[in-house]
Amino acid sequence: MKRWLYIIILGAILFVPGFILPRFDVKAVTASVAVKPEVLFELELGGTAFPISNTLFTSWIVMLLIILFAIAATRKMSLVPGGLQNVLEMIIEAIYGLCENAAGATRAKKFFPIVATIFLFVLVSNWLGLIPGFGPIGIIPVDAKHPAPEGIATFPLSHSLEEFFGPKHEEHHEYVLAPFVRSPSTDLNLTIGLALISMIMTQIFGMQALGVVKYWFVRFIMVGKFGEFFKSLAQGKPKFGLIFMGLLDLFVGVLEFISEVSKILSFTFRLFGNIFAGEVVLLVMTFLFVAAPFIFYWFELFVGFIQAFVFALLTLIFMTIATTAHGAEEHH
Amino acid sequence: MEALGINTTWLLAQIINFGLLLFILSRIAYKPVLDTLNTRKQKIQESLDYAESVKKQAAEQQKEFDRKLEEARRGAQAAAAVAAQAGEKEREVILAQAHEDARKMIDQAKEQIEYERKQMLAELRQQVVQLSLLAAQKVVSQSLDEQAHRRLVNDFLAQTDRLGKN
Repeated sequence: MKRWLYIIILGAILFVPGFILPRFDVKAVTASVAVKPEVLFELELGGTAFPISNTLFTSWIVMLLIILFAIAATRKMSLVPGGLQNVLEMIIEAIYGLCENAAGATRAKKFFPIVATIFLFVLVSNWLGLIPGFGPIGIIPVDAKHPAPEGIATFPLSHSLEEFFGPKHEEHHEYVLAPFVRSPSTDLNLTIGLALISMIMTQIFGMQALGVVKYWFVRFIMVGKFGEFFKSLAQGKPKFGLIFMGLLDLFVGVLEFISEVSKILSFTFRLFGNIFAGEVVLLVMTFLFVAAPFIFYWFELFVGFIQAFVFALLTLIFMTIATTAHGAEEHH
Repeated sequence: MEALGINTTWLLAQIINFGLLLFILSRIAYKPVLDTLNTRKQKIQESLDYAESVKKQAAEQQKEFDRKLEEARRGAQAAAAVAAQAGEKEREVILAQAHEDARKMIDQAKEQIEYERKQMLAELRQQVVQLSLLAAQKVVSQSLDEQAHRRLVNDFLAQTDRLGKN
């Protein structure tokens, strides 16, 4: 009974924006579908002003939420878990189990913190962007040159917020709504950052496991066949086929290197594309049909989870492959 | 790059964010939870081992108990068999005694009966003799002396005896 009540309440929450939003005249403000994150305010640090984007601001909220959750869950650790501790344990146990299955017990210890942090951070940031009402609440920069557009209600609050948050940005020539909260996953800076962390850590773990020289010579600079050729030459029975094989290996090594680099790109744009597109779809659906966002919300929740899972899982798999002795052969 | 909003400051900020989160979570979440999970795993393993040992012990005790029970049962059975045997013997002895007594009593009774019958027969014979004598006296009145008479009657009786026996 209680469960049905929750579902109805959630349904109502998701339903309401579809009813209400189209009733307002929002023509005057371009809907926020810019790839570039909006600047909320500038932070003065040691004389230089750092522009703080809403995605950066939100990633701090995400971190705060995760850390608060972790603190709440581990506040009273006991061998017989209850409440939040149970939830946290379940999550950690599931991710750790995944690591153990993929990489074995010893490597799991190494990979687990990165994989788990990626999963949690991406998951929370994906889902945070979906909270209804977060998108439409924000700042529309107004000043003397750009007065508040017709049809938009300006609260005195928005002015004071402007003053509070510092100077306005001249590049906003259109009246663009800068939401306070925007999923960090819709910011390429985050996705590139995570992709770089994932790949760099993968390479570092690989070099740690196989040794720096061996790692590079096994995966990217495969000159083993030339060595064999010179050995056979020294023995007086040169096998010229080995030269051809060596050249092939060199080419494969180059491809391997390119594929490593392209992983960064695929990591970056997979997460960004899925989440950004999801938010655009939700925005469009809100104005399209009353019940549409309801369906797409469930879908985007699912996508948000899957993308977090995929990012973490691929990181885990790449790390496992990189630390496996004959990684190059198994990997395409 | 600028159009996509990519800039080094934000990129570095996000990387630092991630590193910070990784560090903090490792300290406050992963380590304690994994430690707890390990401790719990050990505890459960210990409990299971203990339960297993207790179970084994219980099984052993059960076996011992069963063995003792079986022993006791066998002992009781043996005792019962001995008792039954003794009882049987006793019964037989008593029965034999009873039979013996009964037989003796029957024999005695038979002897008595036989004796009495003989007595009676003798008496009867005496009386018959007497009666016959009287009767004959009456009939014959002193025609015969007593001695001849008696012989006569005795002969007659002997005849009847023989007849009675046949």
